[in-house]
Amino acid sequence: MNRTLTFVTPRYGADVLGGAEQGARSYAVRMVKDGWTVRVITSCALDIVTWEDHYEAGTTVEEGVEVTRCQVRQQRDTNLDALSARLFSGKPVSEGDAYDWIDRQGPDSPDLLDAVEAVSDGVIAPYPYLYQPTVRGIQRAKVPTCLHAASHPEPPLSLPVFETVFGTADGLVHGSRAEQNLVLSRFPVAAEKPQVVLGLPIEIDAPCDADEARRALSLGDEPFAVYLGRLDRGKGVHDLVERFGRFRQRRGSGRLLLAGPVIDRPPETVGVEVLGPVPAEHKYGLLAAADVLINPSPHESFSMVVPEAMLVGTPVLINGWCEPMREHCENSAGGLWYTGVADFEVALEKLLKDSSLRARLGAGGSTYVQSMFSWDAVRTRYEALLERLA
Amino acid sequence: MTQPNATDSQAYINRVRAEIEAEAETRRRRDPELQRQEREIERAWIEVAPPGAAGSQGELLLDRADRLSMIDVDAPLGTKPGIRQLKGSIRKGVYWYLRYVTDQVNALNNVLTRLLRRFDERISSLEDAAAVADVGGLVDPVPEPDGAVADTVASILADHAGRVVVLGCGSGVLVRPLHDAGVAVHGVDVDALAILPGVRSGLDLRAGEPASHLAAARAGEFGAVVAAGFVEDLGPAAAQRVVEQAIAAVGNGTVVIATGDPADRDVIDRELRVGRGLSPATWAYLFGRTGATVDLVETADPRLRTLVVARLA
Repeated sequence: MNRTLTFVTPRYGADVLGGAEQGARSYAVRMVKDGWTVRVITSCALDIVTWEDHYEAGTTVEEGVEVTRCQVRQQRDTNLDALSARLFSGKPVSEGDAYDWIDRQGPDSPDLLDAVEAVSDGVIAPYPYLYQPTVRGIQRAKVPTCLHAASHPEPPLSLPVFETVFGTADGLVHGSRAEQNLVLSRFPVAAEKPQVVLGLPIEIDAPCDADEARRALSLGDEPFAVYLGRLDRGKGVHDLVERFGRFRQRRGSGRLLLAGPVIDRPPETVGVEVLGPVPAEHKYGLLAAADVLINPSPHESFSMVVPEAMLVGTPVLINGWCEPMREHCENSAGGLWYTGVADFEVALEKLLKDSSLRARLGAGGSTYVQSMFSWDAVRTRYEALLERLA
Repeated sequence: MTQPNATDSQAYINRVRAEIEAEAETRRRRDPELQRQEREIERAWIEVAPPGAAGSQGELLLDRADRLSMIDVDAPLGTKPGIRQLKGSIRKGVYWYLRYVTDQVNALNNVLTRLLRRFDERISSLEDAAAVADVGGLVDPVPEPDGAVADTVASILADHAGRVVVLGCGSGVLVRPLHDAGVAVHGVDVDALAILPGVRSGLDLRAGEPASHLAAARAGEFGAVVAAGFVEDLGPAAAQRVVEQAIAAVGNGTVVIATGDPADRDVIDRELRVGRGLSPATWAYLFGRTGATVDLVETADPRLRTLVVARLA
């Protein structure tokens, strides 16, 4: 088998935040260590909103991975929201309008597409499904493709371009069973393709010292719940803050820390502290120090932070409408979920005051993640799929 | 400390979830303000969650439809003193009018959600009657065939032309001997975890719905179709579809059905799987009606005693 793999992703780099981009990097650096030749074709952008060129165009080697960055021809269309409102109003959308939306969303990079077409060996792995590099790139690829769709139920999935994208892919990688079900129901043609429910490798690759994190981040000794991720309305953070504010008002105590880059600052709320971005060396310490990790996001195809918290033994409380996260909780017995306000409050109260419940959930979650998402377990499944495609 | 096993953990988490639901319901009943907040937050959440976000959680959706169908005219007044008074006056002034309108809307919504529930109940009744409702949590999964069945299947298909697909492949017991004999073969199973051991050992096993995989096959795509496991949970209509689709998928090839006989089931399995699964004799009858040459081949497996082998050539 030709052990060459080329990831195609909108952004790439150690300082790029985003589940799909982190996922691609997480595979890339591990596979290089295992003797694979890994390339990445990406844009020069760092900012997912504008796609403004940030990195130098050209090829570099980062952690053993050959990274080719291409210039963005034009930044994201500032009228995209208006176009989205028209396109996603439920009326039929033409293929032309759908491609137009994809191009305006960006990153729009003809150089990147040319680079994809020039790949002549191994397998190309576009990641995720939503952006131009995948949508147009997968149709220009000259070698087998393995699509890491990272899809979830969202309006763009209904655009008529994606039948072609999923129909063209030679193989599929799903983050969860829920994602696979979504893809197979939306694109029946995908049922015929080699595919695997893979998830992502989840391992502790930085210090995990709760006391040190408390000291370095000035967290004090009080117990707390934590949210870790982009502080963004679309991630459900504002909803969480509102829920938590009411919970605290009723209960009279409680502390929620919001850690991660601030995209859309939630309103000031008693008991809620915005930590902002947390240095990588304190990420696992922060998770371990927390009594519970809360993830309110309705849109996740895997959610890395949930199994990461489970791995360090911290129970999770998640938005039960998000099926992949709920799948983690149900499969592991390592977390609880809510779908309303009342059950959110009861579940959070239980988690904060019952240490034996936390210990039991923590143990279940940790065992689950070690058996399902250790690199060894993930690599075995991934390589078996790539072998079929190569 | 002894590690709890998976079944214990599931039972534990289910118990905790049940306690949470019961307590949450009590709080809702006790505290109208909480109910109002729940509606407000749910409305806000609906704005960021597109249709379909709930996936297959139909019961939850019905529950939410029930709760959100009541329109509340008592708009919150806020806490700022001046604003609160102003909002209070406006609310009082238009209360009679809003009440008149919302009473009618609420009555309509109430009828619609009742209708939805009624439809849901009727569909559930139909599913129960047709034995297609999901009782997966109650019954044990169909056990995998043993090596003797695998060897028999391999000997039947050893010299077969064309690709073989094993539907309901589990960990790949039926795939292994064919693979080792150099036959182009892949397996499909809905259980992505079950296929892992086989995938690890190099077999081409794919996670997917076996019936959908078969339905999506092109005419004559396979030299042979082997169906196991999932066929034991099919009712007569679904079984007939499998027969038709398998015949189309193999062209002039062969179809092998590996199924236990429902008559051999113990009482629990028999009652919980009522209406599901056909005996080898009935499968043979269904294939025979299509003009296929059907053989019943004995195996040494005490559960899968007879294989149905339908040859279309």
